[in-house]
Amino acid sequence: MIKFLLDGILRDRSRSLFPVLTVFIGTAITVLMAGYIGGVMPDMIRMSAHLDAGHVKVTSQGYFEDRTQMPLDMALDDAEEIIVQLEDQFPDMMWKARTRFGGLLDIPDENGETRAQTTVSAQAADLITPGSTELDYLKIRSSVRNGSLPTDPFDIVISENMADAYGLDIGDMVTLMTSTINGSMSFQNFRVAGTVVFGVAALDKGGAIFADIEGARMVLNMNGGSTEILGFFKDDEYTGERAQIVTDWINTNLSVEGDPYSPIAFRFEDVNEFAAMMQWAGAFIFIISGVFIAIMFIVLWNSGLMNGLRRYGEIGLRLAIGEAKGHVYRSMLVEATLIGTIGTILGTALGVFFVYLLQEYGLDISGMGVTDTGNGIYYPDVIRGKVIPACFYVGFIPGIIAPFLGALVSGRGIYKRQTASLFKELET
Amino acid sequence: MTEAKLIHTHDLVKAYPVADREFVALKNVNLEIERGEFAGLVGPSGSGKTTLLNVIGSLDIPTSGSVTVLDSKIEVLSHKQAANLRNLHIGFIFQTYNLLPVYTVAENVEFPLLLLGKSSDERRSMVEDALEWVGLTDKAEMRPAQLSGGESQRVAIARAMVKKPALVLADEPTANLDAKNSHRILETMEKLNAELDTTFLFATHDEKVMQYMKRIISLEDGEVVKDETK
Repeated sequence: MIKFLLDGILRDRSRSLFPVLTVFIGTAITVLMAGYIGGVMPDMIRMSAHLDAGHVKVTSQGYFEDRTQMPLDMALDDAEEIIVQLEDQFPDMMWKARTRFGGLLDIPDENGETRAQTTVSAQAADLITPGSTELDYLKIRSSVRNGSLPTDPFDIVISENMADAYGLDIGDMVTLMTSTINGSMSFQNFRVAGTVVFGVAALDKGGAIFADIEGARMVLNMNGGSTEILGFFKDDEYTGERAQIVTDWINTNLSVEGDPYSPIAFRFEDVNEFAAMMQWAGAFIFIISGVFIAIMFIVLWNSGLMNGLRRYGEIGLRLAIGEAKGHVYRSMLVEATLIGTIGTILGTALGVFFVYLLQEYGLDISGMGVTDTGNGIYYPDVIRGKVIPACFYVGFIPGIIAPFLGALVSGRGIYKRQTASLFKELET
Repeated sequence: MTEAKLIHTHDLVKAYPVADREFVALKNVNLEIERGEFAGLVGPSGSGKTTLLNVIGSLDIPTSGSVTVLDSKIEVLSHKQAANLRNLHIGFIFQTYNLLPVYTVAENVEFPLLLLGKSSDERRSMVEDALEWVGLTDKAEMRPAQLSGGESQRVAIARAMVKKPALVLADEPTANLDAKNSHRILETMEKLNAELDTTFLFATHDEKVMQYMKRIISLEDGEVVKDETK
């Protein structure tokens, strides 16, 4: 019987083409979305962790409370000691001190007189130790447009925008005026080693500068300290469960309740709005499946009703020659499942193909201005899908359920058919 | 199914509600049809021919009275039992052939056998036999759209006969056919009646058909007014 139904589906295009196309398109989009999320989410997590949040972030309790103001006086003044402890406790992680601070940059003319001044937002990290991952994690190495990477604690790299705006050249000396952790004023000359273009609005904005952590410590008078310690799993694969073990240990063993200077640790997803985003991403496949089930169900329900009208004679004949209504109804459901299966297989193939293209070639969205959400969440400039296992099965959820539901509802008309009218109906 | 009386109606009444009153389509019809008969229900439009075929074919139930077909009391059958009776023992031939257009001639004929759960080998053999009876072996792989009206009706006969039913009900089977094809169709059915002992019951007002009937039951206003055997 299934072969009989399948032959009918394959031969009667008006019966099968539209439903198969509907399932095909819906499934392909579902698979594409699954592959997109499967690719973008890990990239987004990786990039946001590298640039800002780490897989685990350690700050002082006081700093975290007022983190939007970047209060230097609440920095961890024993950051290097904490790092030694953490490296010993968690050998599968690496720990990096970073400090954010603000200041005024004085740009001199050829006579050493002030030519211009601008406020800057500085990010200090280990930029000069050989083998440091920070140049890569902060995307500096790949983003250098002019000049070179820093080699001295008093080298800085600045955004290309800033260099253009103030006529700064490679090798120019500038003076950074800021305040130390004790609140006293501090001045330090820095050499412009290079300029960078990240393609991320938040990082390319005019006042961004990147300095080595040791140089910053000298300027800020915070020997061995930093505002943040970021922990990264060495395999660069984040999971909330792994991070939870680390934060639990830190908060149990290093944190002192009520002491604003003692460290406190947070998982990646507990910083900014990552948790909500990750939950959303986790549910996304189910949401998109649900949406396409609903859309395709409505379309296929109507298509089933139209088909029921078109095949009125055929169904009548089948009832007349002795096929039970339940059997006709079930055969409609089997037919819908076959149509769903055909559409899903084709749609999955197309969806996986598009995801593969997205994985291999990516889609450059840097020009769209959407790579930075402004809350510490960064999207990669080039979004890449990933052919994940879910791509091969996720389409079957809407692809099979929707046609089945459509036939389930539209086929109920079979039970309203009066067999007593069949002779008349079949002879008109 | 060895009993001679294949169909037995007793005081059969079939009434339909029409607006606020009742239209009586069949009035106290008492009829007996034996196995192997080649009989026709004749009469003008509205005389109750198709209604009687409907009830005998278990497509409808009587309002009162009783109808027994192949030992089954039609008035007490559930929908499923009625479908089963049709599936196993009754073949239908319609005026408009009602072939499934996407399937080949052989597949159209094979369809009732699928419902009976016959094996692939059995089906193939039975379909070949049925097409041979109606002289369409060479058209087995054609689609209905490629056939003439006469050929299409012969396929419909093969479909009705393939399961070798005890009873075939034919409602105006020649209405859409020219004289030559009508005679050929009727000769085919006459031959099957003789060879397979299948009972044929026609509803018709076509003189050509009546010539072939061995028994003519005349209906008028829902009543049997004449019942003559040639």
